[in-house]
Amino acid sequence: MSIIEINRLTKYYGKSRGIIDVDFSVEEGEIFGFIGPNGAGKSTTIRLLLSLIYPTSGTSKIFGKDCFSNGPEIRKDIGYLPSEVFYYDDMKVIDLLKYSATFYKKDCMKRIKELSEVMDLDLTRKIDDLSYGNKKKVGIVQGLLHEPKLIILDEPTSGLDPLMQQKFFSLLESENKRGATILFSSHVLSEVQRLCGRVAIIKEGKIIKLEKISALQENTFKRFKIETTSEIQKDNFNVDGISNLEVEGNSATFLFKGNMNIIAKKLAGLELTDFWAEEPSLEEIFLHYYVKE
Amino acid sequence: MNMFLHEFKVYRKTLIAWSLSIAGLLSMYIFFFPIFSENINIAKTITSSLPEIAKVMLGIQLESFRNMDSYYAFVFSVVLIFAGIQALNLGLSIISKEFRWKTVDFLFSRPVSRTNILTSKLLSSLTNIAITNFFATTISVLAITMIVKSDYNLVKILLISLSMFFIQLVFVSIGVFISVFFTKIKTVVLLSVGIVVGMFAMNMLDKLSGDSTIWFLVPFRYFDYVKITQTASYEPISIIWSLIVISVLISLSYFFYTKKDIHAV
Repeated sequence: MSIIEINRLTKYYGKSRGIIDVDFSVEEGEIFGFIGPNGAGKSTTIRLLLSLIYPTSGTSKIFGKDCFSNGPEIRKDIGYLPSEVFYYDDMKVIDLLKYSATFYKKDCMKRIKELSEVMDLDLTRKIDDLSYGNKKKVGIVQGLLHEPKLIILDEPTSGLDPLMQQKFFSLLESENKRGATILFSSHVLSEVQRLCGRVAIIKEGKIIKLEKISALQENTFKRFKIETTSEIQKDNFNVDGISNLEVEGNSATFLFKGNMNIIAKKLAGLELTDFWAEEPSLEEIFLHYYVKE
Repeated sequence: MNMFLHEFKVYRKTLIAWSLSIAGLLSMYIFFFPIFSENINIAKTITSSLPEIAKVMLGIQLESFRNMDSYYAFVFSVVLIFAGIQALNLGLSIISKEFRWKTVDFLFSRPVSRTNILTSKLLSSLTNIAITNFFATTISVLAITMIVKSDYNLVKILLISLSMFFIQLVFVSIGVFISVFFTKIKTVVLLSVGIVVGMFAMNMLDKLSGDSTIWFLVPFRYFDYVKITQTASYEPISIIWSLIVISVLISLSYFFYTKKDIHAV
């Protein structure tokens, strides 16, 4: 059964583009990645699913029911974590979580305790006194305390330190094992790769690709940056798989896709002073992979 | 019920402050009554030197200060400014605060309809206003009994006091209606004071011109206190017009609140 079904969903803000003809569905039990650069329409899509905004045209269904006419009923089983969390500043964490729990008509105290223990969250503090990362933790507990069947995450990892990110990811994995379906929106490819089975890639309001993460991984680029003791010769990097080469005196940057040993051998011949190998930004992937297709 | 309680808690302190101020102001005026009524001749000589315009604008009818009912009606219309500010402030902030605090995403992603949310907020405001009125009226009546013993008309005093309830509800409705459109109001208090004082000034100018053509725009004019002290009853139009304004503004607020796009912060 499809948990989310989106059909030609379109949203314009006045004349400016939100999303255009977005089509995809998320199956039960999936961890579905929703990926694209900032401003591509990820949040617009998610806000439509939660009926925070209304569509210009098209339909969206969750649990087989229309998002807009059955909003309150659908949201009983949705846990939502926005990219930026804001709560009532003068409340204590525990009071906020209890208030949130009153909307679900079930006892959530045990879950609140468990989740805040996992996320290392102090329940007695005032929301106003919390750091950004700690507020985010409140958001995570708040989003999961009612054991939702569908978890919608909008760029959830910003503000979490790497250790907390790990804990959060394993929490999501265990929620998924419990049977929860997850829609995970992000502009960081690596976190989507780590968790998701399938991804939809959105760019400028349109879905440009829908595929399995394994297919995406075969085409991943790495971005290299090197600094050497002597001037770098551009011709030295005339290798298959290298693109976007930029040489400036003693330093060079380029993207590479292919057998890493080729690069390793190339670099071994140089007198390096510094060296970086990192994930390229999504924009770069779009430029060098999807646009070419 | 959970949202109602949450709302009520948020405004608990403001409710106490406003109730005390309005009741305090009313009873302070009431305690001044003996000074006014006993020295009415001195007051007359002072005010007779004022130009006619000033007398009309101040609503001074010195003859009326001889009895408590008329005196109460006069001071009450001054206290209404504060009651108006309290109510407009409440109306403006119940919706706009969720946008200002950016908690609207949290609230709207709960499993409740927007109609339900607005209803809870309105009921909480209604309770707030009812408590303020009950408290202010009780204190006023007690103060009056202390000052003039039995020399007053309870029906008139209660009718005058109850008008505040209607006028405040009109102001709550105006506030809610405005904030549905202008969600990003930052200085709610300033706006409330501005609108209410502006309306009060309009009211004075309108009184000055003699034939009141814009009374229906100024909530302070919905009830004619001179007539209430004369007849011990409301004119039907006072109640009817108040209810029309309230229901139209609230219905429109529901309509637009439920259709509104909530943009990301």
